[in-house]
Amino acid sequence: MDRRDFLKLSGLTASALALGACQDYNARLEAYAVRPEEIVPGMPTYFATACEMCPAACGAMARVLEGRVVKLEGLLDHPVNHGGLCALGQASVQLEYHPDRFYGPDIRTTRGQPGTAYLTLKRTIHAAFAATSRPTKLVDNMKVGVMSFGKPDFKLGDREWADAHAQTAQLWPAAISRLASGLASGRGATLILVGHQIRGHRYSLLARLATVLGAPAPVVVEPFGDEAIRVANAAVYGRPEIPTYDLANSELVILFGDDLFTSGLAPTHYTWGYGAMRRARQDIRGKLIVVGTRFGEAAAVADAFIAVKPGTHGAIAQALLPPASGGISPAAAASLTGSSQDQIEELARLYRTLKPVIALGGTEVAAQTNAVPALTAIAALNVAAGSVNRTGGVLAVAPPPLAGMAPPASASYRVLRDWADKMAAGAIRSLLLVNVDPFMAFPEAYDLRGAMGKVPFIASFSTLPDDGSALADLILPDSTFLERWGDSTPAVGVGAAVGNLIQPPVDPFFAARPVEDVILAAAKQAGHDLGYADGEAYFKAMWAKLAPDISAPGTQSPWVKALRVGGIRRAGNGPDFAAHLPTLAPPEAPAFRGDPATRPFHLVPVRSSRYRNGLGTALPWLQEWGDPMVTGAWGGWVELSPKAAAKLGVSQYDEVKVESDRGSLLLGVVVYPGLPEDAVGIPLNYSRIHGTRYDSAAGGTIWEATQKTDPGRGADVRALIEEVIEPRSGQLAWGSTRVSVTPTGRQVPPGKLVLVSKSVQPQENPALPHAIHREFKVWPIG
Amino acid sequence: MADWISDKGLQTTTGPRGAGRRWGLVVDLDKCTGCGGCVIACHAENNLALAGPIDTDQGRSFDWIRIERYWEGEYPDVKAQFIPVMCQQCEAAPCEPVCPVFATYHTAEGLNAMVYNRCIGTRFCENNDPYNVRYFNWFEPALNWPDPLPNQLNPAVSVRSRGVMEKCTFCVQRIRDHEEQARIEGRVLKDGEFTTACAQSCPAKVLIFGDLDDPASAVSQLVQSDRRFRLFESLGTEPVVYYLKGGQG
Repeated sequence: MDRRDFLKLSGLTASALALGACQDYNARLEAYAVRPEEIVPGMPTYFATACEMCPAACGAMARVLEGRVVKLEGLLDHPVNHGGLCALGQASVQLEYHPDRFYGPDIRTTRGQPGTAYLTLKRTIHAAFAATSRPTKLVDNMKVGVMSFGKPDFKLGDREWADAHAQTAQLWPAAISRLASGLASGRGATLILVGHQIRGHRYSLLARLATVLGAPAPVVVEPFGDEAIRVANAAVYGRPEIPTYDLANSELVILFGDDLFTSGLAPTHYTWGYGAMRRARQDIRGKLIVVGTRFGEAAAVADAFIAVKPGTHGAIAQALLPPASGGISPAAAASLTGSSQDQIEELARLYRTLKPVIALGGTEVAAQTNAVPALTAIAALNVAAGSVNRTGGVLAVAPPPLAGMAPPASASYRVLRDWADKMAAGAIRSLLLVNVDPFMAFPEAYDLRGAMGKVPFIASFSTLPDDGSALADLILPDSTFLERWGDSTPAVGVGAAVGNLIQPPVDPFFAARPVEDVILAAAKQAGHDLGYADGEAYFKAMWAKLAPDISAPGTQSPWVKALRVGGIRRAGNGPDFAAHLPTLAPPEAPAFRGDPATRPFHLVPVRSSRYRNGLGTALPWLQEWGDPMVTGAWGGWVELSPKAAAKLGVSQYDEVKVESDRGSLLLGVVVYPGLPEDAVGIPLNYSRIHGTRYDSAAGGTIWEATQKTDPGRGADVRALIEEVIEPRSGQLAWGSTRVSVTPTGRQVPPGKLVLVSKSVQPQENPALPHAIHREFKVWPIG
Repeated sequence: MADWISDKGLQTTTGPRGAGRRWGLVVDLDKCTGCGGCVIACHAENNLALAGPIDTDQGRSFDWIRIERYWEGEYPDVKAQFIPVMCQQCEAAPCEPVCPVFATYHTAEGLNAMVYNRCIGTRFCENNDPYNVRYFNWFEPALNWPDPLPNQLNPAVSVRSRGVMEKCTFCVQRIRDHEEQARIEGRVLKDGEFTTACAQSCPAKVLIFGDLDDPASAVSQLVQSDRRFRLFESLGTEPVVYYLKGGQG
C-alpha cells in the first residue's frame, strides 16, 4: 500500500464512521415524525375522566405528557370529590405502568404456569425495554421513551417493539377463540364474578352476555360487602339503599365504627364533607363523636371518643332512642358496652340539642354477628332526630342519568359462598373473573382454591397477577381505566345526578384490551352477536341516548361537552325515603368464635386506608406510605395495647404468633394506645399468595437492578378469620374471631415490620416529635 | 454568616423579595383527617423515589410531606392528632448557611431552594434542619423504578441522583409554569390560579397555598386567624408555613 492509497482508505474509513454516527444520531432525534394531533412536546394535555380505584367514582383529570399519563388529579367541580383525590386514586398511575402487569393474553396449558407463547412475548417486551434508550441515571434529563403499545411512532427499540406487536397480533385471536370455546362449553353453567370496576354500562354488557349464555346476572364481589347496611336501611328508610350523608351541613355526626374517612364507601367525599362541616360555615363548627372499639383515624379527629366492647355499638344507639322505640337507659347501655355513663348522657344531650344530626354505622359494626339490629338502631337515630330527607341529614342518592348506569349491589358473603359450593360440586363449568380477585372476599377457612379447582374453565381479566388469576386457564388482561372507555355513577353525592364518562387519555400500554372488546368478539364467535363492533362503539351507542347528536360535528355538541367535563350532571336528589321509626328489640349480644380461656383477645381486622378492597396492595407508593395511625408500611403487623404488651412481655418489633382456631400468623408487634387490653388489631388484605412483586406474601426480589431481597408481606389476616355469617344479611362477620398471642422470643427480621415514624423520630433528636406536639397541642373537646 | 454571604454579593438567608411575592402555606389542622392524599400526590408530582421495605425500615424513605401522628393518654381516654409536616421554607433557614457549596439557598420569592447539581452530599443541611424535612438519596433512585415504571415520572421535575439532598420545593415547577404563562399573557398571577400538588389533592381543603405579600390572598386572610401558630417559632427560623389549631375559635 502506498501513501496515496493509505490516505484514501483512512479518509473513507473516517467518513464511514462519521456518517454512520450521524445516521444513528439523527435517527434518535427524529421523534414525533408522525405526531398525534394533541401532543405538543413539553406541554401537558388534560383529560376529564373518572377514577375507578374504588366504588366512590370520583371525577378525575388525567395529565398526559407525550403519550404518558403522569398524574391524576381530582375534577374541581365534581359533586363527589370537589377537586380532591385520595391516595389510592393518586397511585393509580402505578397501575398503568406496573412492572408486573400482564403483558398480553396468556393461554395456559397448566394452571398457574404461564404459556410458552406468553413467556416468549414477555421476553420480547423485556428486550424492547432494554433497547429503548433510557439512561441508567435519570438525573439531567427525562429520556423516557414513549413505549405505549398502541403507538406506531416510537423510535427507540423499534425492532423489538415490532416483534412484540407481531407476537401479540397472533396471541389475541387465539385467546379470544379460546374464550369463545370456553363460553360454549360452559353454556348453562357459566358464572361471571365481577369487581367494583365493572359498573355502569360495562356491567350492563356483561349482564347481556350472561343472558345470552343462560347464566345468572354477574355477581359483584366486594371484600367488605355492605349487605348488612342495606338490610338495616330497608327496615328503617324503606329501601335497601346506602344514602348520602350530608356532613357538610350537619351540626353533629355520630359515627359508630371508624372508617368513614379511610375505607368506607366514599372516603374522599366524606373527608370533604368533614372539612366543610368544621370550617365552611361562619358561626357553626359541626361536632363529630365516634363510638367504637379501636381508636382509629376518625376518632383521632373527633371531638370525643366513646369506647365500647366489640360488637356492642348498637346499645349506645338504643340509649339515645325513646323507650317506646326500644330505647334503653344510659346506665343499661354503660353496663352492656363498658362505656362511661357520663359520656353516654352527654352524647344524648348533644343528640337532643344539635340539629341536624347524622348517625351512621361503619364496618366495625357491620363486621359482627349482630350487625343488622345494631345498624337498624343506628339508622333509627336519624328518623328519631328528623334527619331523613333533610339538608344536613340523610338524603337519597339521585338516580343515574341513564338506567343502565345504576351501580349494581354487591353480593353478600352467603351468596358468594353458595356459588363457591356450586363450583366445588362441579355445577359450574365456566367461570369468568372480571377484574376481581375473589380470594380477597373469602377467609381461608373456606377452601375457595379447592372449589375453583373443580371448575373446568376459568378465564381471568385481571390487569395484575392475583390469587384468582393464578388459577385461570386463560388470562385476558383488561385495559386500565386510563386506556379505555367506560362510565360510572357515584354511590354518594348531594344535589346532582351524575354520570361519569371515562375516556382513554392514553393508548393501551402493553397488549391489554378492554373487557368489552374481548367479550363482544368472543360472544360473536360463540354465536351471540351482541350488536357492537367494540367497546368504543358500544359506549358511544349507550351515550347517544343521552346525547342524541353524538356524532354531530363541532365543539359544542353534547358528546364533546361530556368529554370535556367528564360526563353529565343534572340537579336533584333521589326520591325521598319513606322512613319510619322501628320498635327495636333489646340489644343483641355479639357472638364470637374461640374459647376466651385459650383465645383471650378479640381480633379486630382493620380496613386499611391504603389497600381498601385489595387493589391498592399491588401499588408500591401505597405499600411504602405509612398507615396514618400506626405509620406502618410494607405489610402487616399486630397492634397490642400497651397493657397487653406489658403483660406478654413484648415491645415494638418483637415477633409474636397470633393464633385462632383456624390458623396462625407470625407478626411484628406494634404497641398501639388505641385498643382495649383484650383486643388486637391487624390490617386486612395487605398481601396475596400469587401477587405482584410488591404484595407477594413470600417476597423475593423487588428490583432486579439492585438485587435487594424483600422479606415479603407475609400471610394475610384472612388466614385467622373464622367463617361466621351474620344471619339476617348473609354478610361475613369478620370481627367475630378470638385469638391468642404468644411471643416467639425473637424480633421480626428486617423489613418485616416497617414503621415510617422511625425515620421521623431520628436517634439524634428523639425529642423532636414531642417538641412539635407541645407547640401545636390543643384539644377540640368541649 | 448572613452578612458574609451578603458581602459576597449573594442572597442573604432573609433575602430580598424582588419578585414581589412571598409564597406561603396554611395548614388548617381542624380539617385534617390524616388521609394521606397529599403524601401520594407529592410522590407523583415530584418523582419521589421508592425506598423499599428494607431501606424504609432504616429510615431512608422519602416523604417531602408526611403526616405525623401524636398520641396522648391511655385507653379509653386516649387522643391522637395529625399534623402534616413539610419543609417550612424558613425565612431564616438554619439549613442554608451551613451548605459549603450553596446548593441550598433562598430565592427572591421566599423559597428555600435546592440546586441538585451543586449538592455534594455533606448532609450538613439535614443536620441543621430542626424539622427533619430533608431527605438524602443513599442509593441511585433510578434503580428502584423497574421498567416500565419510569413512564410515571413527571418530566417537569428533575430526578435526583445518589448522594444528593432533596426536599419540598412548594412545587416550584408549577410556580414557574404559571409565572411564565402569566408573563406571556401580559398579566399578573391571580390568587388561586394554581396550587401545590399536596393542596390540590386534599379533599378537605386543609392546605391553602398563596402569596403572603398579597393582602387579598386566601393565605393572607387565614394567617390573621387567632388559631395560627408556626412550628418551633421560638427558634426564630421564621417559617412561612402557618398552622391553624383545631377546636373552637
